[in-house]
Amino acid sequence: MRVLLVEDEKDLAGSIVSYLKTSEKIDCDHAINLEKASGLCDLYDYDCFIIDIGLPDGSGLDLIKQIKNNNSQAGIIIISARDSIDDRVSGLNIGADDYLVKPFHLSELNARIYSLLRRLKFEGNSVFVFNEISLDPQSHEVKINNTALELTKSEYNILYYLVSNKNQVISKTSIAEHLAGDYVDVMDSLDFVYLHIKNLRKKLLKAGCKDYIKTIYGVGYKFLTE
Amino acid sequence: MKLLSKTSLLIITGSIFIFWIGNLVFFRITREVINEHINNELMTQMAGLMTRLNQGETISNLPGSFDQINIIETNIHPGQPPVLSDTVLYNASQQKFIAHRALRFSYNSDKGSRDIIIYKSLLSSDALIERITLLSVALLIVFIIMIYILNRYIFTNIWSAFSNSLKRLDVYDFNKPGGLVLPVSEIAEFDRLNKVLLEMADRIQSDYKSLKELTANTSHEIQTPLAIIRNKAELLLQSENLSETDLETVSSILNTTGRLSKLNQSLLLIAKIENKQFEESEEIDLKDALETYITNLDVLINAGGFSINSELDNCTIRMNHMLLDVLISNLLKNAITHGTGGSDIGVRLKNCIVEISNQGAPLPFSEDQLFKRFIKGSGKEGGTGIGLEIVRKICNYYRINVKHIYSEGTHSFRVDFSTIGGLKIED
Repeated sequence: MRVLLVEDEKDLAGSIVSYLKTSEKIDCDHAINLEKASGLCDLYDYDCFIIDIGLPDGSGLDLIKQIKNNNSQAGIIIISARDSIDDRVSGLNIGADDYLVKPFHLSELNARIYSLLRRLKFEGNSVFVFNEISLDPQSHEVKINNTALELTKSEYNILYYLVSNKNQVISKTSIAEHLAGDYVDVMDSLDFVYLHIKNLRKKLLKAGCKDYIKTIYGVGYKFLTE
Repeated sequence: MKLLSKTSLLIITGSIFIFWIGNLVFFRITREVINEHINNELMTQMAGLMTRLNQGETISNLPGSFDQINIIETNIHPGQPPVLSDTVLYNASQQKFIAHRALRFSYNSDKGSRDIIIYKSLLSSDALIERITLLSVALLIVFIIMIYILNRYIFTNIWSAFSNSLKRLDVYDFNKPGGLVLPVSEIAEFDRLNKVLLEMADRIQSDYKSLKELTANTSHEIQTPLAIIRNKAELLLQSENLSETDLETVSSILNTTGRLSKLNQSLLLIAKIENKQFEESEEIDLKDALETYITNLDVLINAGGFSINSELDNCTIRMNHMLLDVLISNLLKNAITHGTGGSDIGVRLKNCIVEISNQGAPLPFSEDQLFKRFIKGSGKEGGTGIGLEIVRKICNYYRINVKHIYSEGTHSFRVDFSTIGGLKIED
């Protein structure tokens, strides 16, 4: 699995590359501008592109057009500091699959790449299995050892988010924002993450699932597979 | 008052005034001329009479071209010089008093002195003056009408360039692409005005553009470092050899960065609203929109144990979608943040008035501080203290009314959308 990150901020790119490497063992190349990105595109076949719109030598939108013109099936995620509807709409219109506004949580980006790649690879109808857990992103069905497990929407989302960020410490804020989008800015309400996780864990254990979810005190959670 | 009406009015009042004076003078002069003529005639008659009397003719059947003669036997002032005067005599045939000019003079003979008064009727001369006056009034009316028409014609001709420029300025919006174009006129002053206006519009447009770029750039420039800090902190969380306290510190950095970035976004949003960067608007079904926002906030509503009590009528409004989103979410978030946990949150839409209410303690500060920046109530952590300011800015932008009402432990925010919307009539 190979991903190309086009981002002019070295520090930001560095964080993304190392997060993707440790979490998913994804090979992530980094291009600092459009020219480098075009060069790398000619050399390798990428499964996914992560593209910043504001680049020193042009707009990331042009690169997306170029990729689409080459009939590439690769997934494209835009990361941009510009939270304007126009950018979002024009990005998605020319064929990007997702749009993430900076600043974002690395775990959120990771989860988006994860589901995008799964969607592209299995054309959507993939039940994805991890040890005794199986998740169906289409129907949101969860099975533990082939027995269906009834989860609420939030619990399902948390489980999916944790599984896509295996072995990474995920902050409570990141989970809260994943569930409620931009609407979270009230730290008090972060207790709800704790409640959801508590319920989720209880249900998983009752269904005979191993206890993968580890609490990192004061910080968040980790889905531990080792 | 329009320029045309104003000038017409001034010209008409001016000419009426001038003609009035002119007519008065003219009337006086005509009168004088006619009087002099009659006086002369009377004097000639007097001289003729004197000659005849001197020749021995009797006074009773003296001929002459006067209208009446009076002979007064008693002489009050013998040797008095002839006196001219205006008087009125009753005319039996016409049965009315008629103005006459009279000449009184003394005649001395051997039979003694007597006064003779001869009269000349002014009837014909008065009629003349009357006709002249009528004619001049008629002329005046015709003249005024002509002036009015002429003024109108000249006005529309000369000022057409000006009204054209005005029309273009009226529809000109410096927020939209394409500069201001003003027509060229033959009149130097208007050309100068247009030139000044064009320069001004160019300056405003370029200032506005640079301001817009500045806000966009600031957003970009601040968000990127924030993103770096946040992501580095997130990476640091993954480090194997951090103590529990270290992890908590990093987590705190992460959360604070998140808050800072939200604050930055909020301030930028306010700047953008003030710069009127949300021009595009669309028709929105307010009922649908409210239902969507409630669903979006489901997680937070459930987390706080709130139950939503909604009563929604139909209403279609016209505004920017993103601003409506921000407006309603901020009010709902406000209700969730400050509402007493486990109570009801009311969302009501009636006659295009949205009312969002929550239960809670009275405001710890005065009512007029409510919509101000960085005023925080209830000591809850994490809010940016800017949400209601944004609400007010958006309402001001659309000139819609927003009100806070507190009664019996319930805070309500009432937003009146009726000025930008109404019930869509389905056919």
